[in-house]
Amino acid sequence: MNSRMKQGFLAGLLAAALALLAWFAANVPFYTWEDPLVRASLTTVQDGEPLAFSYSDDAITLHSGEGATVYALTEAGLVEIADGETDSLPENCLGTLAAVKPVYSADTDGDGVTESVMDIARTDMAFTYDYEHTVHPISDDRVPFEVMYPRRGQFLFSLNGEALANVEITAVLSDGRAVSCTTDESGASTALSINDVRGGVTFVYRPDETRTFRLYYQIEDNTVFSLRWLKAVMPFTLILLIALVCIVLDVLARKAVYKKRGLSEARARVFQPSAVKRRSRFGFEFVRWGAMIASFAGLIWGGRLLGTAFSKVDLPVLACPYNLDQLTSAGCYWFSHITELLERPPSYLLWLAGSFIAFALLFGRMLCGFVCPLGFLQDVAHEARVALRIEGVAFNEKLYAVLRFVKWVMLVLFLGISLIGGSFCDFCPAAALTPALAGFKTSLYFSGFMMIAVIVSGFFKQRCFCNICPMGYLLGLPHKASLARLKKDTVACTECGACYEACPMGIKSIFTVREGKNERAIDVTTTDCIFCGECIRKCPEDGALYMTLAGVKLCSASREAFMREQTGIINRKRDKNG
Amino acid sequence: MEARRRDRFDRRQTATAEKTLRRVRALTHCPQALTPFLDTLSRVFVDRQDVVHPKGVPTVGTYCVMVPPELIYAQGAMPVKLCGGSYTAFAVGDDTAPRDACPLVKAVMGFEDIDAMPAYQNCALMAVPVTCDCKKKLAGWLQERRPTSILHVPANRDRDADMERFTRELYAFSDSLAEITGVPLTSENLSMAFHRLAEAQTQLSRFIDLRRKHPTLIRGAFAMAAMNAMSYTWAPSWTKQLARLNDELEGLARAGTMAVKGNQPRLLLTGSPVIFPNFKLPLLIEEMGGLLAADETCMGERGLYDPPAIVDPSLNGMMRALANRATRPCTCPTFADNRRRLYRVRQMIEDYRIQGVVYHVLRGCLVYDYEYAAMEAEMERLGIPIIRVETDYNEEDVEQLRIRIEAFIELIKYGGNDR
Repeated sequence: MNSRMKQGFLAGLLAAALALLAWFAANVPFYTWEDPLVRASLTTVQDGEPLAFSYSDDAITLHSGEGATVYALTEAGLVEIADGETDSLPENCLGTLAAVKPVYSADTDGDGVTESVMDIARTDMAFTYDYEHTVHPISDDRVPFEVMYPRRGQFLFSLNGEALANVEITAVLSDGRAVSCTTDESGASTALSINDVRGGVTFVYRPDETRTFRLYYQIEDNTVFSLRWLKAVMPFTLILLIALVCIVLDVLARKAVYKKRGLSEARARVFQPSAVKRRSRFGFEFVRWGAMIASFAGLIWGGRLLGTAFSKVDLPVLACPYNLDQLTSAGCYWFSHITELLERPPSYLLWLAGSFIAFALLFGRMLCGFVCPLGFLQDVAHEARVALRIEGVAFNEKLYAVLRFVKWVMLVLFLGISLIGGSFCDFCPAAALTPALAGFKTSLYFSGFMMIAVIVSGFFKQRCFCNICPMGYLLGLPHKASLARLKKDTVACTECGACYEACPMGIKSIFTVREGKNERAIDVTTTDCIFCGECIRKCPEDGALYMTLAGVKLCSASREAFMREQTGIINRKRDKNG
Repeated sequence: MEARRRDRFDRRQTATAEKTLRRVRALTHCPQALTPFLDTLSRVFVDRQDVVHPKGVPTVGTYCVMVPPELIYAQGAMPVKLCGGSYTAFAVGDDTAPRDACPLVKAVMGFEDIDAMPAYQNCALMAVPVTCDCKKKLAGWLQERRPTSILHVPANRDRDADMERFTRELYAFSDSLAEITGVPLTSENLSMAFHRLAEAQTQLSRFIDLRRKHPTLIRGAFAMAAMNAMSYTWAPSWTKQLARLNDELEGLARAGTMAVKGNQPRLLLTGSPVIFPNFKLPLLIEEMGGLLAADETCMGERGLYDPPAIVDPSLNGMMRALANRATRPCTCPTFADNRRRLYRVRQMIEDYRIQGVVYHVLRGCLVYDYEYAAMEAEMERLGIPIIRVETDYNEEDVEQLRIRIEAFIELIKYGGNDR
């Protein structure tokens, strides 16, 4: 065993030990949502509308509840709420409310036969609350027809405690549209999307000509930019504030250190003004930012905008699956919960594997540079620093080696923690971002602290977390087969090192590699490359670096563009001697 | 005695410079916009006046392109490249320096000794990067006479630690500049200087693009004169002069007036620095029917070729950009690993359609001589003829050089090389 292998072995051991230690840190709470249900009050109004629940902040209203019996589901079972009025929901309430009207006779479908009609209203408050969205079946004779909403895009139907297999149920949406839901063997239907549920949906089930069940279903929803939403975003706001304080403290501490070391006053200055303004140039940068903004919105509110059309796609980036509103699913959950993954049906495994392989091969870590919301957040932090003219932290090989080590720890945690009964989600900083912004009250454990670190480090060093991101690393592993490529013309390259200096991932080989098969187009793509294009932007040699996707050149280094950016917009008056 | 010595120096020095300028002017197709560049060289070497610069701005003598001009401009001074090419000064320096020292260093020591060149004498500070043994001893020798700042140059540049060390060297140099000028370094004045040089580089990029045109718009000897003049010109003025030259060349290109016929052998000059008035080689190449299409020398195009890439616009970020630019892309053979020079020459051969390479070695310039073998092997692989020319700072070898250059040009012309 040579010393290099020995070193690697020791590093691996240390990484595993650290990961084990981290397991104990997992349950350090950053912000936990507690007791959110007793806060709510319930009133019944007679307004002539169909039997339904509606929300106004914490006040729940039952419409046309005359003669209805209102139940709340608690841990001890179904509890009746007298008169349909209460100032606070019962303790141990699981967040499910149901109102049942006495059976009456009417001809609701106009076929000339009078049926016995049962009107039910149901609401689930727990949908936007905390980690796991668990279904609470009522399983009680008093509410015979049940509709449950276990996952976005899926409903479960049951009658008298038995799943309704292979039946047709009509769903009338809030806009009056009728959708036919056909259930499968297990009584599940996937005909509706989350947006249909959000507006309230009425299910009509006719087992035979003489019976009709009507159930109005509604989830508690935090409408974006409402007061409730702001409350849900609070933990993230808290994180931002703490990060801000950390950044200010860091900057001040550095100032003090610089002064103590006797560095020049200009260097110790916090804000360092510049006579040359930064000029952004249209092109790759714009496309990348456009894609990032679009995907940020899509991975947070995409479900609201476009429904669940893409929900089977598992996007392997650090968007959080606890956000049930995102456009796609996030494959990261299954990589970090392998034990749960193995319990899923084989068709799901195929979807996941297919999505991952397709994305990894088509785009590879281009997803990190163009799609990942966590990457976007870091880029925003970085741009903020540059705009404020605050000195960044320049990384070198030694610091990158530390990051690489941390990455191994993260990877061990990511893949292995579920095997010893933990959840990587307790560490994952993304858990603090996308669910909160989508209005989901997700409790944060160690991930809250991680998020602070992500923002602070991303502020001083562009895309710092990406260097230790386990999902990104996995995504980069099959880079050799990926269609996204970074290429270098080694003859045109002057080895000026600007690319390495600009690279947020510290990829040194991009500037040192010289030998290869075709030296005019050496592949310099590595596992770490996130295709952010910074190297190409800072490359002053025509065509020395370029990026291709499936052989199509996306962008290429150009001296003209480089010089245009360097000369910037000038305040000519200040150049007195010019 | 001393007065007679100075007098003799004056006459000879003036005569050589004048003669070189005359020969440059005598070449055909001299663009009109070249005049200010030649005037600058004439002013410094023939009229022996100080460089033109705004009042109250001290000049700082630099002895290598590795001294970032941005830093000097930022702190309210003007850089003047003092690497000497004077035969007369060389003769004077020959008495002080050991026999095997390179003529460049001897010329510098001669200028310093004879104390007759205002452009040299008026420098408030000398900045000497330790690039080779001769420069190291020169730095020590200058230190005893003048305020001198010595910059340690790393032997290699792939390690980040090397680059960080050179950044610290630049900070130290900035401190000595502040002592001279009283202007401390700030992010604001440094960014201004960056902008000033970036404008010059933008014009240089334009110039290079024009030079790459085929057939050629401007003779290499003219281009080298313009680049040499940069060493003694206030950067914004030089930018304006070059912009005018570019405009004229663009006009010529539109009119289809090329400087030389398309079939002249296109040569690349690389190797030891070619410093005015030591224009032996460029002039011989042009006069013997060749075309100096490009040069890869540090007093030529390379002196300003590489731009600094600002990644972090803070003061430290800009200093890192300077350190990076000064060392990493530099093709100076003083660095232990310098494969990039071969690639650079290869790229130039392609860009300028080079047919032959003239490898200039100043006597005693060991590092350049060392790299000849690798260059020769590379050229053999590419099928490009190369000739090694060793010269000294005197006119004795001119005739012998003339024959060799002529033969080399004939070889390319008629040697069946039909690139």
